[in-house]
Amino acid sequence: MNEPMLAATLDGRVIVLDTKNARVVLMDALSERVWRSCRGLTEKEIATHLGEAPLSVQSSLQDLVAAGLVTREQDSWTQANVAWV
Amino acid sequence: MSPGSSIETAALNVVYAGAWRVHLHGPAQVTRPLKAILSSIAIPEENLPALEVFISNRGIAHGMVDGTDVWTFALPKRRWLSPLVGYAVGTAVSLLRELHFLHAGAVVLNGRAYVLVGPPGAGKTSMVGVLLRRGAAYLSDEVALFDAKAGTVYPFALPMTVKPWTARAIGPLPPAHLVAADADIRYLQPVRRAEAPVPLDSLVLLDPAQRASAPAELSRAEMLLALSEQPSSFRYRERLEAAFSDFVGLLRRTRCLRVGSADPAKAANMLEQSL
Repeated sequence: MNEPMLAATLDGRVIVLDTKNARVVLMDALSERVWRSCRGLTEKEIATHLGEAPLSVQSSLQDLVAAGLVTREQDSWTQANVAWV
Repeated sequence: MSPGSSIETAALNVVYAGAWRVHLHGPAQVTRPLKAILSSIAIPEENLPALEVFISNRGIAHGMVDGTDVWTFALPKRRWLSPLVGYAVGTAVSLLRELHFLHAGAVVLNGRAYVLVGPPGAGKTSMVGVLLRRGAAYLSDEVALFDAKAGTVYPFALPMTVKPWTARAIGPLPPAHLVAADADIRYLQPVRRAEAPVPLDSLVLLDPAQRASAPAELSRAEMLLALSEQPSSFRYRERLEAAFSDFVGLLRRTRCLRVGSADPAKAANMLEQSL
């Protein structure tokens, strides 16, 4: 099992340490909502749940994948393991 | 004076930058000013491995720690002291185990530390110079050392690097001792300095693309992102997680501001007036 990524909430915004790429990732509002919805939902279900355009959700998911913050199993999206600071 | 000339004989010098030991080997015309600058620095962490610096008569500078090469470069013919100091200071901060560092200027106002963060050319040294002239005490113009758990900033005390354009931006310089000079760059140790760690009050992000304006609140998340993009403890993989956790903890107790610094003297005045 992968080590959890470190994350923190500062002034209401989620910020994550991407250890693999040695960088800090500050989520924008949409990415944060998408990330919080990654609990076994498909991309289409996330878009419906959030009332957002599928292309916007797809773009956010791509960013979240690049940061190692979500994984996809079959068509379902799941948050990476995170330890809150 | 060219570092490549060998008019003076090679000499061995040991210098203490606070608790950190540096051995200097090379022509005295190079090692003397470097020794003067490094001996001004206060690195409080004990038992850090020593740095060995070798300067050849051909002007090749070489640094070693624990028998391992850490850097080698050819000293430029002009303004050679600045990169040499930079490599030595870079080595020092890379060795820290307890404290965190950030490329930033820092001063003390009303007993509290104000840390000025920004990219090269943002006006850090100029703002530090103006604030010192107006009565602040000096912590650093290059490196802020944090004890994140205590919420304090240590005086690093690397002499101010005053370039001609920095001097023009500052105007009359604050009272200071000349520690060394190299071409048109002066290394000045301000007379009014902090002698002990100071509680951190504010982190101030300088934005050189913006005109000077009253300081505005900045979200702590944006500040953490900005800190991570500066030379800092975030640069070292083995310290990444500690840097993230400790800076998050520090930021939760710290005010974060953004200031337009296109005119550093005006920005310094506006910052001081807002406190």
